[in-house]
Formats: sequence, structure tokens, C-alpha cells
Amino acid sequence: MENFCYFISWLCKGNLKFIKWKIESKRKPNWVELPRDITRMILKKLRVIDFILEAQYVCCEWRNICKDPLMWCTIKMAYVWISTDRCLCHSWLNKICRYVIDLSSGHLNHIFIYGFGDNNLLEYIVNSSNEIRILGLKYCSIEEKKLNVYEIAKKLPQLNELSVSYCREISKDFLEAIGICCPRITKLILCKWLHKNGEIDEDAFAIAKNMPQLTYLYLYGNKITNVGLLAILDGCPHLKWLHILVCPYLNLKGSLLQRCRQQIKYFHFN
Amino acid sequence: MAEKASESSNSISLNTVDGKIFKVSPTIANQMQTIQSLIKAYDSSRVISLPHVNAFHLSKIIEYLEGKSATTVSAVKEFEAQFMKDLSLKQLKGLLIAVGYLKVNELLELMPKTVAKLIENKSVEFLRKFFGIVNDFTPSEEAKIREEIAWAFDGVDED
Repeated sequence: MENFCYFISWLCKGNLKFIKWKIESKRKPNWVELPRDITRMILKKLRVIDFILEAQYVCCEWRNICKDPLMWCTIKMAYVWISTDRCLCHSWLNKICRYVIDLSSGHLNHIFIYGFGDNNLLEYIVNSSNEIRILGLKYCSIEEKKLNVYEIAKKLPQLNELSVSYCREISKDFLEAIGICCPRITKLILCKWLHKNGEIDEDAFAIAKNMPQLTYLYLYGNKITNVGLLAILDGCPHLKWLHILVCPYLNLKGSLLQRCRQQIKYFHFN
Repeated sequence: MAEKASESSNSISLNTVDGKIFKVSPTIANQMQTIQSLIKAYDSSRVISLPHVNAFHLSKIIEYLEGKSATTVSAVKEFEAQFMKDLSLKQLKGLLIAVGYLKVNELLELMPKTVAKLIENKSVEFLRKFFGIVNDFTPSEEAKIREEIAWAFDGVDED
């Protein structure tokens, strides 16, 4: 009994915390024995900013994983709201993106940028590696007029897949340059806001004329008409997937619709 | 009846470390790369023992593979979310090791993603605690690499 009282008073002297910690640590698993390749897989799925700002400081092993260029063959980075100042946030994400591009040391082959990034970042990306196969830009502030589109396109000799969504100023010139300089391009995703300037059918003609090897095409919010679509069907004989969404200038019916269904294996239209 | 007999003769027996024997169809077994190569290497009628996998983990893997093949494409996401939700952290870790050993590709895609989601937006200290990792940097090493990305914290803390 005496012993028990002593134990209670010992508990009260701040040792409760220790015991609580003991219990908790028993409940929580210890991940140390996790095989290295599994750790790599987890870190690969982590958001870039979490990896760069926190995870790489956990221990030497994690730091070494972070330093491995092969971890950065694929970079997917999206806008995250961090500070109250939007501009600050953009330049900050730009810096982090450049930092991980540097880590890839020329092994970058797949990059997707969402919600930040400008001309300079695009130039930095294409200069970093000549193995880029997949390039995705969404909601980026690219100013095409200030960009030498041919210089960019020339540095993407392996480009397979291009996805440009809601980047305000991307026009037919960019598509032309890509078509001419990137002979391996087979997949194109182009999403726009309809109200933005640009002539009717100019994208369609640029695609039809310069990307004959396309197998996949996704157009959203485009000013394509029946004439443009016909040009694409003639110009891209290998098309297997064709998605045309929110293109109000198009009036698909009759023989054109029939031809789409005949020529294209996976045809999707609304 | 005859059909049933041929089915069971086709099935593959797996013996876990705690001595439980599971009979699985070849389609399920083949989705575990390690077992697939064992079947190729040995006589398929033999019981394959798995010294690194216990019954609970194997039953979970089979549950996932069978459940997924029975789910329609549109419901897969929901099924996967539910499957992950039912696991405790401890089970998650054990299962992840088992999945890595058996090389179940689909779970090797899904599970690291789930763990990554758990540690999103967390501090270094949280990560060390979560994974039970001891900081093995010397203070000077840590200061040095912190300096390397000091720019990342410039301006962010100011406002």
C-alpha cells in the first residue's frame, strides 16, 4: 500500500508525461525498418514543396534520396497558397521549381507546371534537359510575344506530349513551332477560354499542317469550325483519339460526323 | 462439379509466416510479381511459403485485388479510399512492407500516395516523430543544408 502511494505521488511529479509518451510511442508504429525503395516511393508521391522544405532535413538518408537526380525525372508542381502576397508566392514557387530542376541534372523528362511559371521558367525548363518527353503547362503566365517560340521548340527534340491549358497567350505560332521542331509529338492537349482573341480555325490549321503524326488530340474551348476539323482529319491520318469539347463554332452532323466516327477510333464530342 | 475441381487444382497455395494457408486463383497470384516468378520457377502444385508475410497482410492484399476486380471502373476510387481508411497506421506500415516484398504494383502505387497525403504540409519534427527517425545530421551539417535553401524562407516569414 505504501508502495502504491509512493507510485501515485511519483506519477504526479511530472512523470505522467513520460508514461503517456511511453504509451503513445507503443501505439505508433516505428517506420525505421521500412525498405529504402518504399521510402523512395513515398517521398516521390510527396508534394515538391513538402519534400524540399521539410522532408529532406529529416535524416541523411532522406537527404540523399532528395539529391538523387533520378528522383526528379518527373516533376509535377502546382500552385499552393502560402503567403498573403500572390506575387511573392509565384516567385517563390519559381525558385523552388528551379531548385528541383537543378537537382534533376539533365534527367528531367516529364514536367507539369500548374498555376505559376512564366517565360523565364519555361526557358529554364527547356535548357535544363534535352530529354523532355512530356511538357504540361496549366494556368501559366506565358507571354508568347516576348518568347522566341522556335528557340523553345528546338530544345524539345524528344517531345512526345504537349499539354497547354488556359495559358492566355499561347497561339498558333507556338503550335506551328512545336509541329516543325518536334517530330515526335503524338499527343496534344489544348484548352482555352473561348472569349480570348485569335482567328477562327487558326489552331486547327496549324495542327493539321504541322503535326501529321498526332494520335491523340484534345481540344477544349477552341474556335474550330467544320473547315478546321476537316483539315485536321486530312492532315493527321494517325489520329486515334479525338476529344472536342466546348467548341461552339463547330456544327457536327451529316457526312463530317460520319467521317469522324469512321476515321477516329475513340471519338468524343459535345 | 468438374469445373470446380479444375478450378481448385489450378489455384495456388500460399503459406504465410504464421502458418496459415491461402488458396488463390492464378489471376490474383499473378498480380503479385514475387509470387508470379516463384510459380514460374517451381512446380505450381507446390505450396509456396512466404517467410516475410503474415496472414493478416496477405488477406488484406487478396481482399484488395479481389475487391478491385469486382468493382466497376467508376467506383474504383471509392473502393480504394475505403480500403485505405479501414487500416490503422500500424497496419498500413506492415502492409506496405508486405506489398513491397510481394511487389503488388497497384498497391505500390496507391499506398505510398496515401502515406504521402498523411505527411503533407508537416514539419521536419513531425516527420521524424511519425516515422520514428532519429536526426543523424551533425549541427553543422544541418546548418549548412539549411543555408542552401535559405532563399526559400526569405520574404515568406516577413509578412
